[in-house]
Amino acid sequence: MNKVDIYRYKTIPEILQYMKAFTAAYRQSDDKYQREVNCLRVQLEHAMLPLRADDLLAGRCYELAIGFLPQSEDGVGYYYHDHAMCTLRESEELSPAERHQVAELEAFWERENTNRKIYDTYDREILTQLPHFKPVDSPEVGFLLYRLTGAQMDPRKLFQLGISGLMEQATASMEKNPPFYRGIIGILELFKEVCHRYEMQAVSLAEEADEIAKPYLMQMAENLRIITDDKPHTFWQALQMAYLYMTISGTYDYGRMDEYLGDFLVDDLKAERLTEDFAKELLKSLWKLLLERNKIYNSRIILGGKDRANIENADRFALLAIDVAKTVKEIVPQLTLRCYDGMNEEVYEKALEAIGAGATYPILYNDDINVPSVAKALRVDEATAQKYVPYGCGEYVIYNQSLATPSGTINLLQGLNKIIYSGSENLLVKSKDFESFYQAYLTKMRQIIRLLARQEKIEYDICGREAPFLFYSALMDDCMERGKPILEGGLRYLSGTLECYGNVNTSDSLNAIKWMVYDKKCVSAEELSAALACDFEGYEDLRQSLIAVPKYGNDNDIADQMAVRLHEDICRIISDCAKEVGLHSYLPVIINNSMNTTFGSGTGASADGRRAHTFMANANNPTGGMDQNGITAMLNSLVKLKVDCHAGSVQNMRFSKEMFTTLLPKTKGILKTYFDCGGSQAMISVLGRGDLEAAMEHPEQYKNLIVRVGGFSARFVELPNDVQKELLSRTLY
Amino acid sequence: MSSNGIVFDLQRCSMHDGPGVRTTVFLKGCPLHCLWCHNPESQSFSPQMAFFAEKCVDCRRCEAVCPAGVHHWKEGNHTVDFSKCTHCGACLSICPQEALKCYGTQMSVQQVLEIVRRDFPFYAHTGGGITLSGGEPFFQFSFCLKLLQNAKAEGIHTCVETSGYVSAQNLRKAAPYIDYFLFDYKESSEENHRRFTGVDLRVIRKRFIWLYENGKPIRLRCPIVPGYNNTNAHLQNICKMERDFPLLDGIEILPYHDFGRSKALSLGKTYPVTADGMQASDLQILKEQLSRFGASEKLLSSF
Repeated sequence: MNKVDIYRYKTIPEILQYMKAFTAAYRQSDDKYQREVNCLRVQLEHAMLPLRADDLLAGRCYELAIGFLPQSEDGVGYYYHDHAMCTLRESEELSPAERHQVAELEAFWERENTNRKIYDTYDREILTQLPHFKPVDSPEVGFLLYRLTGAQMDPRKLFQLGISGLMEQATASMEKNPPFYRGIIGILELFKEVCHRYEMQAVSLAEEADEIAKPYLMQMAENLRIITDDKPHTFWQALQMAYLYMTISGTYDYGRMDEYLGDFLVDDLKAERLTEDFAKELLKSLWKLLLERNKIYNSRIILGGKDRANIENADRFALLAIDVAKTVKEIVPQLTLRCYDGMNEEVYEKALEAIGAGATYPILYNDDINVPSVAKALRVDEATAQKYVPYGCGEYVIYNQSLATPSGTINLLQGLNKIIYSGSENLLVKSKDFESFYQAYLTKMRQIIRLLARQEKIEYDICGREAPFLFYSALMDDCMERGKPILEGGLRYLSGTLECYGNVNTSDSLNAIKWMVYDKKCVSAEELSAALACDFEGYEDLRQSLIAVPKYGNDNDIADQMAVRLHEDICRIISDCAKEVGLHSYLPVIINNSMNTTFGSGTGASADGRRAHTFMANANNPTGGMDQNGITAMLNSLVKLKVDCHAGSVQNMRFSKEMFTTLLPKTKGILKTYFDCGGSQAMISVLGRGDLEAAMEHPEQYKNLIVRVGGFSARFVELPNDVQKELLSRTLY
Repeated sequence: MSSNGIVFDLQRCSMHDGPGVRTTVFLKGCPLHCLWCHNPESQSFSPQMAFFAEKCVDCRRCEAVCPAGVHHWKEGNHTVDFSKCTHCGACLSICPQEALKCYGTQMSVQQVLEIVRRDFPFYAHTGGGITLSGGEPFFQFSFCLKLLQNAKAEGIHTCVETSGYVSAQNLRKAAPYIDYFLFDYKESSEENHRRFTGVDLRVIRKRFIWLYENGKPIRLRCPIVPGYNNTNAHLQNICKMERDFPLLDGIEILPYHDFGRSKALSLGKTYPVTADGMQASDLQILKEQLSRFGASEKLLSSF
């Protein structure tokens, strides 16, 4: 995670002045609605960065040392960055009096930050049984995350009503809940203020600009002036409005852009107000801003889906966006294509072309499988499920209608190891047969998962108590109609998710334990435990035997059945918690950032033959190098895992360049079969053989090599060494 | 004779052995002895032990378990007497380094098909199916035929990669069950052919003509081995075949690679070809030669 660089855009006195102003705004009002508006007013004055002469879109922001965001680097809601405060406190530029002020601010925000308020609400069980403030590579099973992430918002209401229209709506509804609607009007005023500031900046830049840049800047000023009050009339204005609103709101994901921009695009093209080339330039400018915002685990732009009302126009946008992704080849945005039977072939072909060119985008989703699965897992009807959108690393939410933040992560393999590594309490030694051992494992997992679910609900409740998150509440369905903020009854579906890691190593380990200890009796429980405890030192033969036990990913029924069993049991345990804690749904997400590597580094040797402190397999994918029967076998294994019991799982695939050139027709057939047989998703990296090895050796020659890591893409040479090694271990087909 | 066959490899998702995505079944046994054979483990019909010296860590466990005295250490080096091996498998399972391996296991038709069937949906979407390769698949004819008949009965597309050195009678018997032929064409001069492969080219020609005249889809596969058959005469002949047999589904050039060498050595065999695998520059020269002799774009883009 990037540490916030507080000196990047401001001087020390400016930072201090900002913090004092923000804190004063916070203290000024006890009404949480007004407080949020007051605080955001101060924050937006400082956090929004100036327009540059070569920007085609306005709206850059950065994270300040204290502030209010749904998701900051250090927490949810009112946050403060302790490392940033610490840097500030130690700065030699401060006078003793200023240093004292910093200490006071620090003490204040240490008490007042929302993370702290959530923590203060925990009961004894959560406090004692879940780790707090421990590094993620420490040997714990469950971890907590403080954030309100994944708002996938639909800006069409903004487009239809304009800011003035939305304000009128709030005014008309005022009596239902005056503080709420006053708050809504307050943040809409803030949006107008930001637009106006940028408009003035555009005008002033235009005055200085050369003849080439001048008209663009003048048009930008005009765009910003229009959207300050009115509805957008053009593609450029609509794009500006949606992007700016979303950026200010604090979301990192950008919704179904083809649907909300498609009509503007086509109208402008028809009226010859816009050329395709210039539309691409606008998108490139957007790509650049998203890259600068640097949210590599998010930044989703969704394309496709059968339920779009304007398929033809939306596809026109999709084609442009995919083309830009192919040309620009950047790690964000995470361009996502929802595919379905009967979709525009040209869009699909274009997508494969971009993937084949090494863009890693778009990520392909299979609606024919996902829509019914989402309906079942998220407990919604099919029409609602049609609105599913992945955000972040691949968690599903209902577009503009739900939140499903993962507030916890669980390392399933650590959980398994813990019950073996526990000395006299070693459940492997105590269990007389595999069934009792397996059930003992599930019982342990259930205990932790229930606590994580409870914590998730507490996090939502306290966030809701502290703040109405007005930028979200103004746009997301039902809040304005109900007069309620998102977390206090406004949002239609308040759901939760739990990030699961180590799934495949756990099922392979369970399979090895069943086979070696209980079925074939090749090794005693005591000996296996001893071998694991010392990372197989002196037990290399045993390790080789464990590796030789069939592994998931080879279309081997024995190994795959264990994976299926564990998958379904864990999914059920997690989803069973929803009702108990009061969430619409609570589901696992088997997504991945690079936590498989981070968690792996804190996880001891495992019974699948994996050495201690090495990476675990990524998401539902086989352990690297263990899938030895070719891609069809690997895909056959993948589709055995049900997809209607979780809220997203990611499937990374690495193909050689040949598969996307001379063998492309066959590759297409393979992907089609995978989707037909139940595959829900495919994230494809196309690489030359030996590329990664060569890139490790000569990073300077491979600066543009982009790879899909888990739920995000990255430049290979910029990844930490252990993550690079994990990528190298994966099979290239 | 049991209905089992001796299979030395079963490769799923094979992308280069016929139309679509295929499962390639490699059968042991071959009447040819091509000097450059890239699957030397396929030549003998019997299962064979192989020893990969570079993986051996001199733990000498194989020596301890071998009842036939195959493994011994001479001047500190692991030496293998292949002629004594009874294929009991004891050394294979004890070797911690996978330096010892057995090529060839018995499989029934149903065992093979059980694996082949698993990719049925992939065949359907790509026009793929099963490919029998080897060795010469016809060398285990009854197993080969049963496999083909059963696969056809299940609606699986069938392909056979053959040297063409097969009996006319068996070819007639099997042909109705074969949808596609990958037909090897290794050398045009009869004399050289016998020298390189040990068998008579005329038989192969006759089988080829018979298949062609009976309208079977055929793709001709031509391995090109530097110092052996990369002669103008042979290359010219390949181009002539392209003109003479316009109904061929294509001619594919297989540039020489030396993967066969280490496998041959691991089996205690000699490997006479000394050339390294062909590099990009060699391929360019080869393309130019073929182009001069009138090869089509399709042929030139086959490698």
